[in-house]
Amino acid sequence: MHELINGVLLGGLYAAVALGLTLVFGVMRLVNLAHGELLVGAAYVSYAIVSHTGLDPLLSLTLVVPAVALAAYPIQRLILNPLVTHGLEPPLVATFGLSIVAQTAFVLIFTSDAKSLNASYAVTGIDILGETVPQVYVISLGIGVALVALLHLGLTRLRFGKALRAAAEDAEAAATLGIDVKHVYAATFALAAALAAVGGVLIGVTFSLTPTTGTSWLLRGFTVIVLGGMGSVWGTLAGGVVVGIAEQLGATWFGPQYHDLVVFSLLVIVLVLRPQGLFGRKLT
Amino acid sequence: MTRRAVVALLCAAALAALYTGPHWLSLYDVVIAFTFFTYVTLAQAWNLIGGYGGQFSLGHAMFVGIGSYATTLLLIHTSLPLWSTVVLSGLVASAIAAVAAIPLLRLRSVYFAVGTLGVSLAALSWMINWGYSGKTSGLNVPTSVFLSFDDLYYAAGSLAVFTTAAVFLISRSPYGLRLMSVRDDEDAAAQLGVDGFRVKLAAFTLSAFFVGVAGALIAIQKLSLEPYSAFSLTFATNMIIMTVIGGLGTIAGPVLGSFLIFELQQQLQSYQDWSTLITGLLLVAIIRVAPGGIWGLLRQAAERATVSITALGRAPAPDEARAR
Repeated sequence: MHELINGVLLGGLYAAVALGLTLVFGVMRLVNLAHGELLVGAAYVSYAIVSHTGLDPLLSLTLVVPAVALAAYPIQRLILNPLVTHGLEPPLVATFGLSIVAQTAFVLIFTSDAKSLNASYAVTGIDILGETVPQVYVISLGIGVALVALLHLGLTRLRFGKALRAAAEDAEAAATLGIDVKHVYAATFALAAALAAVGGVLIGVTFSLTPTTGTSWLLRGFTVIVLGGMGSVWGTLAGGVVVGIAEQLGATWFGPQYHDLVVFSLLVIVLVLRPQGLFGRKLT
Repeated sequence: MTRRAVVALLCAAALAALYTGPHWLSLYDVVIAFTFFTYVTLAQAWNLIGGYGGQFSLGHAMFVGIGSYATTLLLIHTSLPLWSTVVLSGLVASAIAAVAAIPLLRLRSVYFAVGTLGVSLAALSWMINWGYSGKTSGLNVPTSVFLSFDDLYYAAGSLAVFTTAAVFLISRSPYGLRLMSVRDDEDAAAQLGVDGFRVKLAAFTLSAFFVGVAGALIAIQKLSLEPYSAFSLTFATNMIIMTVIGGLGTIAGPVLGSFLIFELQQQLQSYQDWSTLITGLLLVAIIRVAPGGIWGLLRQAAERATVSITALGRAPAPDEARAR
């Protein structure tokens, strides 16, 4: 029971972590190996703001989200856009290079020491069905579900969401209909970075940060979206919950030191057995 | 003189220079040459599966760690001669690669890349918790094992030459053609009767063998090892960067790339983070403007020079004209 509750709650955090990956893959078929660095980078920006102004980490998102989105737009527009037409590997290599650059920049700016975003709700507990869990787990689930719902609404209702889905479906056809695909791609990347910023700050509050933590979060995020069907928004939430529960159960059965091993093994098993994911494929 | 003769002569001169190295290099250079040779080996081994095979493995760091641990464990628990533990370590890496390949090589493209990264990180978390290999405190190579700097130089140098020669011969063999046909279009290759899985499996296990042997030498040089550095993703990062910057799927490219990265690291020795930063930027720049790598650029420039010489007073060949 304990594992189920924690798993479901963490599932919300995992969904927030993975949504940006889903979006970028769903629209551009691009596996962003620098996604972990978007998460960690946003958390570091929040750390800088929090330690200078004493602002609450979650409130700092009002500054972090636009900052990260603005930084992400030109990365897609100038570096990745010209590569996405060259097949799957060149953009993969480019994001791989970007992840190395970002990790090193984090070391140079923030040193390799572990940092975390301090907030009262990270240490105080709350009772749910007789189990005490950190408040931030509940907040994460709320935020995760809200992000998924908002993204779904945005993709189905907003004009931009429709343009984005059109570009995802068939970029050439979308271009002939007057959709500026290059802009849509870059905006998608910026939106993904904004979503990652929320996930990253939640990671910083709930866990801790080092310059290289991004890699394991990238893989956790990838496990979530593979389970969720590679590019499905609601699937991401479901995938997050499955990974959350699996990780908690694994930690109980094999010992907490094996929780990474459980996630990475799950990734490989699902990739091999059910590459189409558990919950279908459509973007919305 | 034909082009082939020039290349053969250059190779012979390079080999002679390498062989006599310890006689004219300073002791410091002999010591650091070890690192350069392992870079060439790692890059060339990755080039076999990543460049010629087109399978973008992000998990090759795992085979360095497996080779390091295998040779150390063999030295601790058996009385086998040193050289045989090194070869056995390569075989252990190959065997594990073959097992891992059964699921991994069914994945295509980016799925394969992410899958290999997952396996590599899973292997690292396994090693951190495995009592037999000393968990995070790691292992020491028995003190009875001692190699002089010259021995290490020759061991790593021979491995680099052997790996490069092996990849060269493979790339020019019928098997190499099958491997590249799978890279270029797996479905079309299958139509021609090429079993993509088996072709990739051979390249993957062979690549792991060379990486495992290099890992064994690295352990013997360092004399102690622990999981985080032995399975460090930096190994995989370096292999990929050196190969892509030099030229993916060429023989000279990985050697050139290893040399560039090695020199950069030497020059910026006291600013290691900056050299990593530059390396990352270089990778992004290369893939963006010259996906063929630096060797590709050089070759293009050379071809343009020859074409402009031979094209003087020659009408374009029919298919050339059509291509325009």
